[in-house]
Amino acid sequence: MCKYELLKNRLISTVIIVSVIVFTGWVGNIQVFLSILPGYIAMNPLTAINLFLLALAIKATGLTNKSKHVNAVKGIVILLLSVMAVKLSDVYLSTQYNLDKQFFSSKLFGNQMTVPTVFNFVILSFSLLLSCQKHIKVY
Amino acid sequence: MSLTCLAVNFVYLGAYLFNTFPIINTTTETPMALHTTVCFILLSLSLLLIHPFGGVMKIITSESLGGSLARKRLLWILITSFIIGYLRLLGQKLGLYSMEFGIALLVVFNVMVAVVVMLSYGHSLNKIQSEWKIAEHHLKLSEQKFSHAFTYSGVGMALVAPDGTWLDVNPAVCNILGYTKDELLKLTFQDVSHPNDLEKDMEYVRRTLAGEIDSYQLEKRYYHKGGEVIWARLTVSIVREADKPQFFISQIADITAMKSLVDNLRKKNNELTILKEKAECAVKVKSEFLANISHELRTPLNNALILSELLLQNNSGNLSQKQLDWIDVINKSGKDLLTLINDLLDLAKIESKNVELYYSKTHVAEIFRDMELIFAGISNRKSIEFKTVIDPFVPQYIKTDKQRLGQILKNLLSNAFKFTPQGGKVSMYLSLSDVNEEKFLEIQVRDSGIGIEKEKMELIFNAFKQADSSTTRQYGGTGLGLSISKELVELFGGSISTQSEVGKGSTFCIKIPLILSEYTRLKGIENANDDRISKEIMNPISDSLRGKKILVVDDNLRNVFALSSLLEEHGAEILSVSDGKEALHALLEVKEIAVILMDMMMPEIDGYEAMKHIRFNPRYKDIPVIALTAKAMTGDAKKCLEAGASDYISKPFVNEYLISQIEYWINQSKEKQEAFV
Repeated sequence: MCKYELLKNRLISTVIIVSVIVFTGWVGNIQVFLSILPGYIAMNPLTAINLFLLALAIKATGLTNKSKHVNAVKGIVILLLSVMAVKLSDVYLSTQYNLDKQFFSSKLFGNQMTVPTVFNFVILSFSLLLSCQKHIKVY
Repeated sequence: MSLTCLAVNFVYLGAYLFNTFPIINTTTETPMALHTTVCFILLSLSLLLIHPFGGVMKIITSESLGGSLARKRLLWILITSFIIGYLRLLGQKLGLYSMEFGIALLVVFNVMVAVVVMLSYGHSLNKIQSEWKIAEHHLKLSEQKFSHAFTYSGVGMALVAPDGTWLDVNPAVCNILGYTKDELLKLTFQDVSHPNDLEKDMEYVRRTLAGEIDSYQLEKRYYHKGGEVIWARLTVSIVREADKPQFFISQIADITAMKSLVDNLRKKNNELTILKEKAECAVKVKSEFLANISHELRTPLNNALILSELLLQNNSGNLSQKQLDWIDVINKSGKDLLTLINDLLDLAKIESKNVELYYSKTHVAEIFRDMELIFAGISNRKSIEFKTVIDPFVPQYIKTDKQRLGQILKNLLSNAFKFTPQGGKVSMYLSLSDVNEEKFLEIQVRDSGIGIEKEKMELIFNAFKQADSSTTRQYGGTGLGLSISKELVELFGGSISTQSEVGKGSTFCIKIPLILSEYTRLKGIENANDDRISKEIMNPISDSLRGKKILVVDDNLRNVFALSSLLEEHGAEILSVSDGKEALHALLEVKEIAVILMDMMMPEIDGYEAMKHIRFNPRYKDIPVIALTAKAMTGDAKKCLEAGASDYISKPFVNEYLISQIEYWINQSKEKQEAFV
């Protein structure tokens, strides 16, 4: 394994750990886990789930059985893009699906997925989708 | 896309670090969480690292100098920018300056950072350029070296395209093949190759192009422009670029002259082999001739000597003094002739390197005893006091070639007796000496003879030389003895030296390496208590043959007559037969045969075969058989002893010596029988 592959795995592992800690924080109602640093804004549970899925998808690109894992990556990306589309429709088309408020609704107290977060997911999902295509390099 | 995401999240991270949310947070009420931002940064980087060596990432991950520079500078720019931004905000919050001044300050600092980075890049580029120039210089130098080596090489060098076309050739190739450079560049190497060698060369080319080998070497023939065939040693290597064959570098060395030389050498070698075989054949023929001539000369001489000596004794007393003088002359002439024959044969063998030493366990005192027996006669006749001394520290048994050592001593003693006047002294000393921690057997032969002048010392070891030609006339001899002795001593790995004073005598000293026998006792001869030796030395000739039956086996009637005459004079009863078969019959019919004297060369059953039959029968195994043969070539004695002989005496022999040997073996046989009873 080359040093860049190793670095990539470590970065992904960090994201997975953070997202698991946040989700555990929501499940166990542990305030420190939600915001990591005291006094800071808590991460939305849907964001944590999406980060976890995105990290897994990126991790899957490095696995040996390419064709099988590419399908899994594509599936995750489509799921993420679908969720983001619903969120954007809530923001810009005033629909009221409120997916980001479905999990732990009683504990959210106005916490929601921000628009930059949504765009970040959209961009990274597309980036990941395109990086899986052969002969197309998108960064 | 990932870079966009990275940039956006860095902005957010900056906003968190500098607390500037009012500037960026315009669309939502709550900003993105800090750890969400960090996670996005990490995911963006992960996405970039999916293809670390592609796109923009290639610039950073490259192992080249550019990659290294980018990695270092990028990190510093990021850190410096964050620190400057933070300091700008801190100053503004502390009221050190207004927001406008702070922004101006930020711009100025960022410009300074940009300038520093640019200068750093400039410096790095300068460094790279100077290194590049050095590398370029080295490259030019290398090219120049190659170009010079290529142009002025004594060996033909050529660049050849994969299809065989000459791309470039040096003048040596043109000289070898006889074409001009322009002519060669229009040809392929196949055009000038000998068709018989082309297939092999093409096979190598194919393997080289396929990457199976990187270079090859072969000897092949080319056609000179003039049509002559040229032999060349071809060494070919391939130059590849990105694994694609570009061209071959061929080195062509003209080996036509060498090949011709090798062919000539091979022919000469074959001729030499034939000559060697012929020479070996000639040597074999010569050896056989020597053996035959030796036999043929010795046999009649033996008879002449035996009978002349018997006549000299004048037992019947009917010979006049004049007749006795004549017989004495005949006897001495015969002895001289015998010495000459022996010396000539030995010299011939030594010169043809045909002398081999046969080492065997030898009783040291026995050699001295033999010498005493041989020279007892002359010692008595000339009234010369003959003394032998063996140092007590000399081992009782050694390993040596008894026959050859005896020959050396005989030569030295013979000279000593020859040149010592009546009433003089001759002595022989045996001791041990050390030379470079190696033990040597040292034998000194001293005489009180005429001596040798200092300037003649070196001459005496040359063949046919004596110290003074007048000595030859006065004392006789061929001058071969010392030369032969010197050669033999050197064959033993030893040395011979001499000390002499005119009128007082000479001392010849031989030193030969001591090889101990496995049964050696480091004890003096005085302690050996060897009765036999002392007895025989004191009384070398006796009449103990009286009444003894001696079987003489010889096909030559004159030999039988001579031997019978001699032995009958000593009182022995003689039975004679003419071959081995008759000898076996005689053994069956006649009892109490004391000794058998066996000639070796006989019809029907020869001496070797007869002795094997005799030894095969347990009844006769203790009867002493003395082999008498005129064959005196190397290995004859060994052959006789191996066939079953108790002893070996070469013809012609000294009568007293034969009698003493017969007596000795009769006594041995008697002792055995007594011990058995």
